[in-house]
Amino acid sequence: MIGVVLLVIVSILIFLGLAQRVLDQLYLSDRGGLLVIAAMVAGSFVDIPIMRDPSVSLNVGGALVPIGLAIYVLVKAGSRKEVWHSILGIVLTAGVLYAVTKLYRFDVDQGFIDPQYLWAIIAAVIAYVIGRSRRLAYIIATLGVLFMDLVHVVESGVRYLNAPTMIGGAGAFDTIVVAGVLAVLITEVLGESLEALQGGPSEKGKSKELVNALDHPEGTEERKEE
Amino acid sequence: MDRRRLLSAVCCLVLLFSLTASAVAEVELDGKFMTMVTKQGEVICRTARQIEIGDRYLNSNNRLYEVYQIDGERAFVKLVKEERKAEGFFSKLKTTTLQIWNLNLFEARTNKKGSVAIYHTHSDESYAPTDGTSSIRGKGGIHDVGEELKQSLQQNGVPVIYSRVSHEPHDAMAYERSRRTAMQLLRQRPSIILDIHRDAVPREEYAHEINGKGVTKLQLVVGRENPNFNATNDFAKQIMRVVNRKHPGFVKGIFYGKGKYNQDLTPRLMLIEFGTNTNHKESAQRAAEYFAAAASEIVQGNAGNGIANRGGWRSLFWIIAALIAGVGLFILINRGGLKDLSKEFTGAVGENVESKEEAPDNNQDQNQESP
Repeated sequence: MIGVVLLVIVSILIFLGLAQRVLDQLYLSDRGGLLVIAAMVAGSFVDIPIMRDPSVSLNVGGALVPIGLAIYVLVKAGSRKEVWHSILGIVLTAGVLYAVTKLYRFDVDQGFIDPQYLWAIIAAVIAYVIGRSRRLAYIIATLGVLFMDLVHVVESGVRYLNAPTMIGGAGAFDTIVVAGVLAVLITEVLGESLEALQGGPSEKGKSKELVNALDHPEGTEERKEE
Repeated sequence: MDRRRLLSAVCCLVLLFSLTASAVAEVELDGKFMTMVTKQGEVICRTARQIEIGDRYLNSNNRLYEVYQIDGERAFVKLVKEERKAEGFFSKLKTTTLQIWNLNLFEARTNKKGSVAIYHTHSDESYAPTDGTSSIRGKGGIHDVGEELKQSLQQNGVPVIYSRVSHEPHDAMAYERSRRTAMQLLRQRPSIILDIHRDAVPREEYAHEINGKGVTKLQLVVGRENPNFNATNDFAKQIMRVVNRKHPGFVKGIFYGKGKYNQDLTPRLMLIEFGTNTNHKESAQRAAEYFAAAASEIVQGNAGNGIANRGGWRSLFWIIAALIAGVGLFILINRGGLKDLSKEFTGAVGENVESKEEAPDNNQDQNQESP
């Protein structure tokens, strides 16, 4: 069983490693990132019941910590513009995810991609198009999937489905976390690779000062120190 | 600026809806199915799925077929590989030696009776001839098959954890919801975990007899988008081998679906189709009974550990290879070559280096936000 056990351990480590790399982009220091990961892993075992009928529960590691982080990132956003971009992104993602959930047929014999990857791709594409920002990708992927859970709570109540909503119930491996992490990675690879392949950031429509700063990153640093 | 936003939104919607153009509604069945046939006309399998060139199917004789041409509702397949059956003298000798070796050295572990966890991602799935319809919200006939499986396993001395949690509606989020159930079950450390479904193809595809009694055949499903694909695939082959050794042809094959069906959570999570919606539920229940008796040696962790283990090593190798290749490519494209490689890694440990590196990064992001 060593192979299988090692496989599981390495998969978890790679996932957590990627998560750490992603947290680095979200206003967190390395130590802060590791703390968040520890909170997600430990919190995976804690479910907080919220409602009875329809049954709703909230997992600490799979929902509370990642959603808290998304809100923290949103609050710490650099400018009002970034906040508006985020809100626009969240609304757009929520709408698109809802439509895709109802339209995209996924089963053993249907569909072209696992939905878990699809939510991340949708969030990453929207984040890239709206703001080219990795932080935005994290916020809208996490809150977009959360929104789908809230839709399920309503649907479950209205249609008497008797289907519980365990928000973040899969802990650190829940779609809320996985979609957030993947969305940031996709945006990073998509954005940086496209930029690198076109030979640097586009200069069109940018101020002279910014173009100069982008061309000479050292100059930017020098100016900062003054 | 507003025009840009509007354009962005439209682009997103067009892109996403073009990806989901073939989608229609929440209804699962539309009565159509495709048939995989060889050039000689031999039917390999029927499925309700739109088959594409390159799709594969492993049948009960361990023959792996691949689709090379599609003509209407027929998909032509060719034999790609005939898997070696583990029935030869040397493989038997090897298995026995391994079993003796394992029992002697790790007696406590291999004799431990693991439990089986059972759940249903599609809790509405039903059997039309007996349930009256193919889908019953909240309490599909599939639960009766799950219950039968549970009781039969228990009669064979296997402890069972059975979840009847509903994951409806039957939409694209169903697997995200059942992922949570699977994870809750995994916390109780079962030996294996089974997601029990039923298929949606003509009844003949699954009609079978064991000891003169009508049963449904079984089909195992392995997700191709799962990073642990090799481990899960070998686990599926192991189940098929053990069950078909007792009842030849009972497991009709392994279907390689697009998706991962939560099989990334553990290499021992198997999705099994117990018949199809046009079979009688009693046949599926009898199938559950025979499957429980035949598969108890796998679920107790004694049989085939070596096989799943081999798949584990292969998956591990490919994951690490992909990781190295991915990271390498990313660094080469984005960080301007190997000389910056060391910088990339020192940033992860030294707080000082990190703060220096983060500064331009933050700047860049904020700059991009401004017009």
